[in-house]
Amino acid sequence: MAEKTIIPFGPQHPVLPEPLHLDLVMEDETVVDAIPSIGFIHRGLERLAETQDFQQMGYVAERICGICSCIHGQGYSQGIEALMGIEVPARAQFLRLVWGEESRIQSHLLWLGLAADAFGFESLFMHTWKLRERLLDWVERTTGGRVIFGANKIGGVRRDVADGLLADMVADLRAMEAEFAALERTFLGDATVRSRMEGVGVLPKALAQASGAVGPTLRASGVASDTRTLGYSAYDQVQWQVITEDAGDCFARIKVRCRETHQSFDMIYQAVAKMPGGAVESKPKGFPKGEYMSRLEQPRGEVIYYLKGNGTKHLERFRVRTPTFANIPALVHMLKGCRLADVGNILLTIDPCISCTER
Amino acid sequence: MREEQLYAGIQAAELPALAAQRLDLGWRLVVITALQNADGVEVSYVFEQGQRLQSLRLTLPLEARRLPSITGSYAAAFIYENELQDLFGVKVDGLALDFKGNFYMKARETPFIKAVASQAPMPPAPEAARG
Amino acid sequence: MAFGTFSLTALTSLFKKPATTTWPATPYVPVAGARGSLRFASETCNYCTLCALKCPTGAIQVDRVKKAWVLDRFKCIVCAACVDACVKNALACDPDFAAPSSDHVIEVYRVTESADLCAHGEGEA
Repeated sequence: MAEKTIIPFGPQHPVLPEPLHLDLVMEDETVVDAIPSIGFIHRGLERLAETQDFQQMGYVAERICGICSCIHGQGYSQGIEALMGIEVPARAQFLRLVWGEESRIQSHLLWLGLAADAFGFESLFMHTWKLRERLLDWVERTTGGRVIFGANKIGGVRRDVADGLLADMVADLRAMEAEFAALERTFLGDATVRSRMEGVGVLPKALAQASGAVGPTLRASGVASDTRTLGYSAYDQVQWQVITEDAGDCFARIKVRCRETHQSFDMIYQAVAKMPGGAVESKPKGFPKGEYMSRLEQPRGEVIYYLKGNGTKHLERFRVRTPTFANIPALVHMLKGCRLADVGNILLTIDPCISCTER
Repeated sequence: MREEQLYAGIQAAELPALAAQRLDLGWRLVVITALQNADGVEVSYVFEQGQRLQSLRLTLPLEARRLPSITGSYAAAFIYENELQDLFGVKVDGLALDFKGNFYMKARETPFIKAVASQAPMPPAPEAARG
Repeated sequence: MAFGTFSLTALTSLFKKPATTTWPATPYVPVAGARGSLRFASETCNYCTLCALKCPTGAIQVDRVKKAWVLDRFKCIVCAACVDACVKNALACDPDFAAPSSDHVIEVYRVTESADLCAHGEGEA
């Protein structure tokens, strides 16, 4: 008869990019249950809407999280644009797509590096992040910021990028994609990686849907759900498809993110090739009134911005529901029955972004 | 682009039955969100099916913040309902995984509820010259 | 299931030049257009206080009467909201980062010299 013990995991742990606490109920080496506890990084950002006017809230939204910054800014701007009936010019939509997909690539590369570090493959981690640095250099050249892109604003994007610079960027991205393919051979082919990731942390399809999982966590369990199919920004004007895998284990999640990275590269090439000319912003007039829920696909899944305005310069409510928040119940299910040594890996495969979760 | 988002007003008592109905029809629970307004706390349950969003909305007076849980149908709702408890002081009955107010580490109780006396959220309209 | 898939990458990395630079021996070349730090040109400023109103952190204070423009660099997040707001092009982003400092210096820029030093300008509204 195994005795139950409780092992606290986190908030400080080498695999975690941000603090999260789990109480692991253990029977010998097997996790029987996991009780999550959050709030270590809760900053109450949603209440800043009372003191910051609706244009300043864009800067707050961008800074909810460093990894997911660009799309947070985009989501907020899209929500206010819907409330105020602002039409964003075509070039701005395409630039938003380019930067959104670059944000996705840098996030997936960051995650792949962390995943490699979590199962002990530190040199692979270093090489992946080396590639990410090259991408961040391009982000800095085009937007002015490496981590906080500062690219989006209400009505469009904050700066235009010369077509020559975009062409140079695409040329370098193609070289980067080839380097990524070399790293991908290790991520997807190496026996050491597969032995730690295959069959671990399985999330069956029905359970993935019932627990409200989103993003690659859901898609790796065979559910073809991607918020980009809504067609916001310029996603209805580039060719792409929803990427799914069927196994539902950690290895499937690695595969989904690797394939998504290739797809993001491809979307950027298409967007730059089709980039229309023209203005990059529309001036907003007046104040937001009414309520709207703007939905986007973050690298981690579906993010929702609920914005409510009442015709004054302060929003009445600013609510963000980030993908990691929705993935917590799925995480709890995945952890049941795993070994203690795999907890870090499984936790990392939902791509936890706790800054986003707790705002 | 603006997608159509519908809101339907309901009563708190109907909530578990309506949630079970939505589950049978295949609706996904997207988020449960709340805000404080002049009438109390307005809670919206947002569901999605086939990319259409629909919300069930109810308003709870500040003195009587109590709701039945929908974790019987949507088990994953425990995260949102615990957040309602922690940040808005709404008591949720029948929560499957109840953290009893300890889900978020907070400096004070119900940080998202402003005292009713200072319920004048908008700053005075005539401001000093804006540049 | 392959073994040693990383060996080619590891081997070639041994002979490639390092991905890191030997700072400070090699100086850092800031990227043109980067939002590094805020630069203020007091000659062109007309003290309209728009930058102070737009600043999300309250890092800028402007005193219209005393003609003082005050920046608390510790609060500045280099979001460039003030740069976008300024109609007189008195503000710009320097591509290089502000030097680290252990003293909390509040920078005061004034058009006219006056006997009393104002450390906190009052912004309008």
